[in-house]
Amino acid sequence: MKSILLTRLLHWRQQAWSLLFWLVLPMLATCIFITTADNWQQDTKIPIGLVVEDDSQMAIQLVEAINEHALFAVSNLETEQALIQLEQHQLDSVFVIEEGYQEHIKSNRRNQLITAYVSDMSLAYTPVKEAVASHIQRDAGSSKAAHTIMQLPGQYGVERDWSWDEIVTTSDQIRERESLLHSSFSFYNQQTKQEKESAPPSVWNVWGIWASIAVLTTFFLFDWVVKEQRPSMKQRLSLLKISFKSYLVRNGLIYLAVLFVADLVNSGLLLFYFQQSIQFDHLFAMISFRITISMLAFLFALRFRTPFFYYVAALSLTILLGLIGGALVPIDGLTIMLPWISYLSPITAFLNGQVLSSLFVVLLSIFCVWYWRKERTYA
Amino acid sequence: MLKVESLTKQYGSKQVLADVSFQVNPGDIVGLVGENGAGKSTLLTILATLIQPEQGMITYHDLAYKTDQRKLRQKIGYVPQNIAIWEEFSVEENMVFFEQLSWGKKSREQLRQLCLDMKLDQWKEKAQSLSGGMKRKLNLAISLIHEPELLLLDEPTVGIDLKSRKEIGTYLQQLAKQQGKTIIYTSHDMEEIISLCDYVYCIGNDPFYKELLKEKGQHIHVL
Repeated sequence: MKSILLTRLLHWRQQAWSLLFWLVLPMLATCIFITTADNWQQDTKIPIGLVVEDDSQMAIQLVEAINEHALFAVSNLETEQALIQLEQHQLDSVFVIEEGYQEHIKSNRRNQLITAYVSDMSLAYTPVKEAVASHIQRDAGSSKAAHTIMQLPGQYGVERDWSWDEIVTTSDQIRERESLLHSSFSFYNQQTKQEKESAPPSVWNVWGIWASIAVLTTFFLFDWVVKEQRPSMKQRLSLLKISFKSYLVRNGLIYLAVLFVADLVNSGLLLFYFQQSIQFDHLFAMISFRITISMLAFLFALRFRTPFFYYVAALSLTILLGLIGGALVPIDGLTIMLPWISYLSPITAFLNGQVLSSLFVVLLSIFCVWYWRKERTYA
Repeated sequence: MLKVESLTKQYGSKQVLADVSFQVNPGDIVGLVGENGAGKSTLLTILATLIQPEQGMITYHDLAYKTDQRKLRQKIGYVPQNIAIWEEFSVEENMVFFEQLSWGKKSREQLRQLCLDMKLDQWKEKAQSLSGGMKRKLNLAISLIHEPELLLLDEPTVGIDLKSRKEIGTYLQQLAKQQGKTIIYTSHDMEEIISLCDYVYCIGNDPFYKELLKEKGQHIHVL
């Protein structure tokens, strides 16, 4: 093994920068991709103007809800200023929360609560309007429920009066406390993972992106298999102290070890950069993921004689694995129809924290068959 | 002594070698000639233990090809037709790389001397910047690191200048006559074959080679 390591170092000495580039690429590309995508997403928020003419509690809550919307860039303005910006197409649309908003809601008048202004360039008006209307709908529903509750003591002869404000405030508190939209339900005796309390820092899956790029870099780093099995070199290497297969496997193990160290460093830096946490069992999933994709790249490279065709095929396969792994785009609909799809990508297994995936077992079996298969040559 | 008996090899339905038998004594330089596709390279790769024949028996001294492959590989030096070196390595790095994986251990000084014996003196030069002749010499030198007894050379001088060709020829003669190495050599250059080889085996039944060698007064054996 020492000899193999020394000979590999001779190769790496020639390719030091290229090797370093491919080893840090998953981490670098993930950081760049997610930061750029998040910035881009920030830039592509819909600019809307909000004019608040009512200072009631309900109006303030509505403003907060609109301000917190992930896809809106809200400017709180005066009507005149807002309309000028709308004319200049700096804003997509303008919403004015009219004076007496809460009073109108309270008295169950649902007209003229909000006035909206649009221009001929208000491309996102319809979805924005729907989003704003949904908040108003919630307030109106809450008010209607309060009126119904206020009538209950009279109907049932109970001597207890609740005010409209008390009921609405309590219902808001209950809604926030129970957080019904984020509650997870489970069957009896089945444990489910606790949902994270804090919202994810990015809409992109950091580990999904990292895993997809790690697959690509592994393919590109394993191009040595293609280069070193060119016929003349294969003949030469076959006559050495160790068999050609053994030469390939030992070099593969060296690559595996180096890549795993790079994974640990990359992961550490990603955890630090994205302020994420990792569980101990994910480390085992990462080891399994690394072995799986290295075996895949190794066995895949064995089938090629020309580096160019290998690179093209590797790139295509990486995109395919990224897509069916659900790392790049959600494929829930597809996996419901074709559940076996998820077994084909090592990325799915890694993201699910699986240590022993079906793909790992299949690749290991193929590897064993290849290694112990009797060749028609002496080599 | 290398002894080949009733050797048969075919690729699919194409018969490449049919009932080939011959023997080579230690210290002999034997030429293999024949038209393209006659089976010269196939024969050499079989003798190098790289592919298996369908039928036949090969022995080298008391070692049988079927059972003693590992021991045989220690005694065989094979020079492939296409140059098999690392282009991005220097001459030194190429020699060190193959020495590390070779059957025999040699110091850097010994490796350098081996190159110098073949008039390859660009020790620190990158292989990609060497001339065709120098690359061929390096290709040969790598095969000699473990001091093989049986040297199989598949067109080792193809495409190189006359001077380098002469230097390689002289070196091979030294190996055979002074160190008793057995050399089997394929080439399309009849002048080279005649000047270098003790005798010639012609693979295939092409009368062209027989006539040509007869004209030159070279004894020829048809396989």
